[in-house]
Amino acid sequence: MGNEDEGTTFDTIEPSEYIFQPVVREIEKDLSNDDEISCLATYQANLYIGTAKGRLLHYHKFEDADDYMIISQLQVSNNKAVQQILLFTSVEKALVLSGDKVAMYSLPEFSPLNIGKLKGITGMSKINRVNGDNKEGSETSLLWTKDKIRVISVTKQSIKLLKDINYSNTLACVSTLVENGKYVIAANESTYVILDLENIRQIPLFEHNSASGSDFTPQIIPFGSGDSTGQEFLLLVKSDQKSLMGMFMNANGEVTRGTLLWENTGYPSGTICIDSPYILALFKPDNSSYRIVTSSLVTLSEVKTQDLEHILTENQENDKREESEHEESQQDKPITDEPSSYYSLKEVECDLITKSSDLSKLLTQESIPSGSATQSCITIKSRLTLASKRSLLVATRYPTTILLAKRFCKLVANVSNVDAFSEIYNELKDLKQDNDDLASLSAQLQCFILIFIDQDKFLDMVTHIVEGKEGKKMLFDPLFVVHLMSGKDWLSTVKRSTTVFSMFTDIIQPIRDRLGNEKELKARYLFKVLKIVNEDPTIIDSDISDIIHYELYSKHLNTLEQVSITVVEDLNYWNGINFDNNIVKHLEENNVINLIEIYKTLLENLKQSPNKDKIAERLCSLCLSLISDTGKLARSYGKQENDVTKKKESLIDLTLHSLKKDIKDPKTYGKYLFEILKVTPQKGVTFIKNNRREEYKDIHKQIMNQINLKDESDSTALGLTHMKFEYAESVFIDDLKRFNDSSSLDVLDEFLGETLVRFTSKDLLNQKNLEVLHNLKCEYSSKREDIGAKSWPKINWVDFLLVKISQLEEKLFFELYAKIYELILIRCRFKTFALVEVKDDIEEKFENNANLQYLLFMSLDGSKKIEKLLEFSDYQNAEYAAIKDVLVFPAKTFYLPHISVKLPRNEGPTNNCIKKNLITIFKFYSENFVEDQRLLSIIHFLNNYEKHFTPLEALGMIPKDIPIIYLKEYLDRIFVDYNIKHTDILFHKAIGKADSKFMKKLSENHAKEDSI
Amino acid sequence: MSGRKKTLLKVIILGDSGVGKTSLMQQFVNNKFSHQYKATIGADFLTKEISIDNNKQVTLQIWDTAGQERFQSLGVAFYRGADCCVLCFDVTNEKSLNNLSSWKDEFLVQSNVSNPQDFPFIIIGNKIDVDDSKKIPSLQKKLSNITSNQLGGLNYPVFETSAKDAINVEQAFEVVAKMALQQEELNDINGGVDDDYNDAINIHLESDNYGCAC
Repeated sequence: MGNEDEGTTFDTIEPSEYIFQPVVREIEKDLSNDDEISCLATYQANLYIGTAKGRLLHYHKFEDADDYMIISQLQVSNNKAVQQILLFTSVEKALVLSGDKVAMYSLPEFSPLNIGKLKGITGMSKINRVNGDNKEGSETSLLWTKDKIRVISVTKQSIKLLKDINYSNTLACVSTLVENGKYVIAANESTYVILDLENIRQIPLFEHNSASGSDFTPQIIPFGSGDSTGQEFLLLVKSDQKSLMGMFMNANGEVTRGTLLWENTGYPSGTICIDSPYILALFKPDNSSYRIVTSSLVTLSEVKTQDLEHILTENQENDKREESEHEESQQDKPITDEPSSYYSLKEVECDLITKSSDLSKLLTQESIPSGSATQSCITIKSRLTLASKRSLLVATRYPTTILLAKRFCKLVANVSNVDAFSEIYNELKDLKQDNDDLASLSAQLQCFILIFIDQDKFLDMVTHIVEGKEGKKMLFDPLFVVHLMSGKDWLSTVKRSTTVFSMFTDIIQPIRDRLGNEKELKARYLFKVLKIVNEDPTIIDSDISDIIHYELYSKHLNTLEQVSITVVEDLNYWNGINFDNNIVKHLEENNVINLIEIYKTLLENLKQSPNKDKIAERLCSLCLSLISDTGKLARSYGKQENDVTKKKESLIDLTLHSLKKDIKDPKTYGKYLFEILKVTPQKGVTFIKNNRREEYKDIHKQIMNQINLKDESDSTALGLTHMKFEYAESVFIDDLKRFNDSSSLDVLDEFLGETLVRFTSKDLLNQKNLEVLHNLKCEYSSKREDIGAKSWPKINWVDFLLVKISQLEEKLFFELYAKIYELILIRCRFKTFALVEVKDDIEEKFENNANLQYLLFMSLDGSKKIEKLLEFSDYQNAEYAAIKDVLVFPAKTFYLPHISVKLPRNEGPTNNCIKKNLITIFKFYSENFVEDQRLLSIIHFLNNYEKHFTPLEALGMIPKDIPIIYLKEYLDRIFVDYNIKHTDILFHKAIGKADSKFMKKLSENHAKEDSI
Repeated sequence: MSGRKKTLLKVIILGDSGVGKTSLMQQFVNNKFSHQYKATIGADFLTKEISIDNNKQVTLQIWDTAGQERFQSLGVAFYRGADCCVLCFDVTNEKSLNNLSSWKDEFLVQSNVSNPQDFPFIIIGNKIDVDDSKKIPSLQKKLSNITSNQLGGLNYPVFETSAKDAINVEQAFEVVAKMALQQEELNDINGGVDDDYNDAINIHLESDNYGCAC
């Protein structure tokens, strides 16, 4: 006790072992030299000590003080020992027996009341009121004299005598009030009896001292719950010369338990207390030192013996010395049954509170990993006192929690089964703890046990939230829990510390060993903490939160699904952190895939986060680092390089998805899109094509311009070039929808320029394509010669080409040809221009190729244009240009349908000009064609352009070798026309003549009338 | 005295030291038997709930008393309120058989039962598992003499039991329970339940002395 070197150690504690601790350390100073403690009582925080010299010391325990302090001293009698202090707390009064007089005092200050004294009193006892009427303002008590037992009532103002019962030589007396009667258990010099106060009779029980001729002081010790069935009394019986027996009775005189025997112990006096489930008795066997024998109320057998030698502290050294002197003085006296009363055990009314060095030592907490110890100041409360003449101690059993902890530690060491742990847990969980340290010990112990018996409950417990002085906090330090579930050096690696009760330090490793590879349990714990912190980040310190997060994310998330679920529960954490934290750094080096999943989940779930752009950027960066490095990609997924195609595709998709959805910064967007294009142009351009939002237009354009084709023979570069054109075309088509006036011509010019670039790129404008074009041109021209058909001319060059494209393997070049043709046509409808305006080297590239030169015809002057077209055999276009001065749109157009506005009309050439153009064409037909072709073309010409010529002019133009009969259709038409005109003139003339004749006749008639 | 619940039947086992009272009680209540002898101090009791007569549930509170003489002065405390008394002897110990009558008388004196003539007793001869050679010679005859003696004899049911081998123990205590219940019912009819203190002594009360003694 109290001695750290020799005190009780954790291993030696037994359930029935008591701690003894001094209550009033300075009591020695308060007692005069020859005075000693004779009795004591407690009320609230007050301790009243009566002395052998008739003094009464009043001590008080202030809340902020460690020790009881004396606040008053009172001389209650003149050198006569204070034998008993009886407190009546409901009326705040006390009766003090000194000598044979009883005086009344007021509580708690213990001031004397001048209401006189009761005399001739030999003992006092309170009546234990059980279910009886409890008159407010009074309490009843028994006082006994040599020949009477007096029942009195104590009120605030007075003492009233209620009843006097003649009963001689009362030595002990205890009374209980029950519903249907008042019973007093009393003892006279030989026998215990029950006194029935209602019926005024006595019922003998049994003798307490069968051995005649020896003194023995009977004792009646009440204990129990206080209800009508629970109140019990222990009655001491002298068995033989050196043995003592205890009988247990209730207030009705019924035996309630078996018999207790203390063999060869001698007889204690005033030194038996009951602290259920134990009975403590202080004995001093012959030639031995004092010892406290503890027996069980259940088994009625002795369970523990403690020598006072071992339980007294160094502070009681004086006591020991005095005790020796006392013994020496006793040796001269004859041996009697009167026991030594140097020490006494007593149960007081209210708890005494004092510090316990033993418990403080047992509840030492040790820092891990440093090993430094911290002791709290633990207080104990107890009603059980051990008083010597000049010292006062309280006695209390070691808290059950400590005993259970000890049991648990032994079980862990012995690898016991689960049932044994369950037993401890069941006992522990409902225990009420006296102080915070014991509560912590209990919690820590329960935590350990639950690891073995119920891991779900364990998780619930270690994540339990408690309301502390500074707000909510976790019942268990997360560092402690993780330490328990990690390697023993874990705390050192995170450079943190935690604490554990010293008594548990040795079992941490066995528990850890038992947990083995319970990684799932740790992961579940970390996940639960993370959820808690996500809901209320103030519950644990942010640096501990970081550690918990790091543990979980870096070591315990094994599948992408786990990562995703975790991040969804942890959004608040990620929303507010610096992305250069340890988790990210670790994952960047060790598990990029998980990090990508984290970013992905965050982007899917974070709403309006300022970090979203940053997260998306990091995601794209990580994805691209893998996409562009197949080796790294394979290593990250733990696969072979040839087995990651799908993974790569999904990463590309993820990057593009993020680019489209989350990246707002144009530069960043462009940067990553460009990277994607380098890796997968097809997906990149497809993405660009499908993502034609206005805000990206400039970026896309910029990216397209950045694509630099250093080596066009490279298939990737070629693909990219094509994609680039496709994109430009799709943008252009979009633009065409908004095409409205000449200010939009820039768009057209720009796209036309791009188309020309694409058309003239090496991969398209090559010998092979030119040969095909040449062949087609030959076919086109010859066909005209072979045609022999009924109509003329059938088809223009571009339409012919478009028809032929479907039969070609390489279509692109020819499609572009047709597209350029169409674009120039559209362009010319707005304004005259030359292709060099959009591409300066175009004429050089087309210079030596008549088939390509065709595309430049439409920018030539009228007559020149017609000549070239005629030379090219595109007679339809030549004739059309003769009339309209422009070329005809092909039957199939690529862009025209997308233009919502009507194209402006050309002014067109004058009639003279048209006539001149037509004559040029006619001359070409008649001079260059032969046979059927010549005939057909002339017939066609006359049939289509007759209106531009008079019949005479037309007939004059017809070569003389053409028989007139071939022109029958023309001639019929012009003659019918002539006949119609002639008939018309005849009609007019006839009408004129008739009209003139009529007028003449009318004039004649009129003249006649005038003459009459 | 009415503190006790009346479905609780109090049974007292008496007999010389070492006849097997504690073993009988342990066998009946806990189905246990210990070869180790340990003298009973004062008394001890065990309870067992059993069903008798048309499933009536009763709780037997069986008091195992010390056979040693030094504890006999405590008897009155244990005997009070008993509903049946079991007188035990050892079939190998003739003295214990002969002392049965003394135990009966002691019980009737100390317990102050209201109907000593009719109070239910039962006799149990224990240890029948031992060799016949060790048993009391002519046991049945001697037993018959004791039980058939009309003048103050022990004309009660007799059971020969073995606490060690659990022979006849259940049957004996079933009869005990029935007899105790009958006694209990008889007490109810006679109105004896209100007061178990037949040995009470009136004391003088100074009734005029009320008031403050100051």
